[in-house]
Amino acid sequence: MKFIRGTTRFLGQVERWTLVVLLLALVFLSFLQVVLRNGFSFAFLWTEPLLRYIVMWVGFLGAAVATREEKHFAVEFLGRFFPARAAGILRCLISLIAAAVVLILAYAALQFVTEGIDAGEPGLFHLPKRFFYAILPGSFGLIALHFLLRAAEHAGTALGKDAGTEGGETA
Amino acid sequence: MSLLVAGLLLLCLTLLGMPLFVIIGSLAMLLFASSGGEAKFVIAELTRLAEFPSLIAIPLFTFAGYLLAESQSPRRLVTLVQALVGRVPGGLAVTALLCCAVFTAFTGASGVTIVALGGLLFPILRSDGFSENFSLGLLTTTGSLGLLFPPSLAIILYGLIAQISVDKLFIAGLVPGFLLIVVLGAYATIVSRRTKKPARERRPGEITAALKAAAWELPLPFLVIGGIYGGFITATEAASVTAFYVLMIEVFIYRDLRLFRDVPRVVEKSMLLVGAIFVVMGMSLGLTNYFIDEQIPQQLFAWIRQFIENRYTFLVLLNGVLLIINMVEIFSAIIIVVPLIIPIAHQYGIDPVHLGIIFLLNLEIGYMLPPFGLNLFIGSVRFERPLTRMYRATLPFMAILFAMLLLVTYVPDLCLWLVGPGTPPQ
Repeated sequence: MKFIRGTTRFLGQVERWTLVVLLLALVFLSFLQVVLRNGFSFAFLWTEPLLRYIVMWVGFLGAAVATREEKHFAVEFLGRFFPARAAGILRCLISLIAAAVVLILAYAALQFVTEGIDAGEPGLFHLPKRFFYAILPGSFGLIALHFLLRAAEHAGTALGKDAGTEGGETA
Repeated sequence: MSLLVAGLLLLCLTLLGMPLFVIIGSLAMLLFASSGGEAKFVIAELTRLAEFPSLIAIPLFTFAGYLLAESQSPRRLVTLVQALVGRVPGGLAVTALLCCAVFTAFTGASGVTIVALGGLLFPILRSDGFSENFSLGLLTTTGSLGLLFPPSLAIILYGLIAQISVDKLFIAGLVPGFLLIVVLGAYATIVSRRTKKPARERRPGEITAALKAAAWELPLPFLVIGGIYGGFITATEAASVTAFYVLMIEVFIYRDLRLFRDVPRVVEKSMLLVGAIFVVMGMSLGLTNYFIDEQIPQQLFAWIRQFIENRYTFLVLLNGVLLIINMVEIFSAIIIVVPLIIPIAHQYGIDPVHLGIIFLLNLEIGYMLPPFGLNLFIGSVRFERPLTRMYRATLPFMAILFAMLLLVTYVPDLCLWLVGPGTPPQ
């Protein structure tokens, strides 16, 4: 249990600071672009595509955070009628199934990145396009990992090992 | 047959709380597989997300909204509007309406308004003699009131999905949005007569002090709303200016948020919402593409056509269906349902901009529709009142919103006259 919480926390730190750097870059670069375009009728060729990639990275990293915090959009009302232990087991199962589905997506994304996108034309900054799309298999892998971690945590809680400490958190 | 079984299984999982993006993703992969495709196609469709022109507005506006919500700006806003209109009978209720509308527009109506502003306004309303039911109902309702105003996330999302100009939608929402505030304000004024409490006294210098305190935040609504309505900047540009400006003032001028302690937390909170939206959008792109390829909207239209000839009857049915869907989940509703109904509505000669405003008003009502409307739950937790109490308290407000919905549905010109000619219904 300790190991699982520790891993979640470590991943959380990495995700958080990566998001901070990327989002601040997004804010400043896009503002610079507006100033240059409206004030000086000038634009760098690279800002527009770079901003698009950053948006993707920020969004999909955010999805990993949403998984960790269990804040994905879901229909939740049935869960409210379950007693605590049953709800814990249910959530564990749901997270496991979700992890399996997302793993398939991660594999598909990996395939897409390694085979699906052009190898020919050079992308932004002469970097291959797959470099920018690496966030797709990366984030889906991360999401699957978070689902597994949550599943383990719910299992641990439902089986009552440290139900006492967890009670306050979920309330 | 096996598809049917899989569909039922997915439905069960949905009801048991499986994240919607997983459900949609599975469905898309299954459907592609059944027509000989691969899971890779779902990912290929997902990358189309990067080509959406205004996508960048979503993280930027969400970030700005969360920064505002976490700073002291709700407090400054309430103080200012209270100083300005507090003396008018019912002014306090109108204060609440205006604050919440502005705030919801900026924070994307994800329940933040009730949490950030509700707690401030509830005791003020009560101490001014408004009944508990009225105060509860008002604050729960206003939690989604800004949905029709820029830069509401719901409008941007609708524009992206429906592929119509976000700027145009913002303009179309103006008249219905203001009308709604006026009607709710009138209701509040009538109620306040019954409270028989004298309007509060204005302290000397109150307005000046409040203006001074909010001086840096005041230009914001004018910049965004004025800028977009005036055509000076696009919605996307407004998003980036807003995010930059809000970050600067809250961190360096007001110093409400510290760069290394608070900003990372806000980044994480806001991007979590963006991420949740993105995965649903990404997965839905695959599903939508499948639906369009298989001509599902046309088939649906042909089927509905057997029962409904008339545009107006169709709109009634549409409103009913939308209310139920929106009550369950709002953003996902836009992403999944809009691509299906736009072609059908087009066949009935309904303008996509008009449809958008109808859709958003439905969202607004869906937020507070018993038994599952999101605002009811948030309000119940925030104000520590049982859910049944919330149902009763919101009832009169819901009646007003329904009346508005009927008006907007059957008088398209309310939305369209400012947009001007462009896509007249056939």
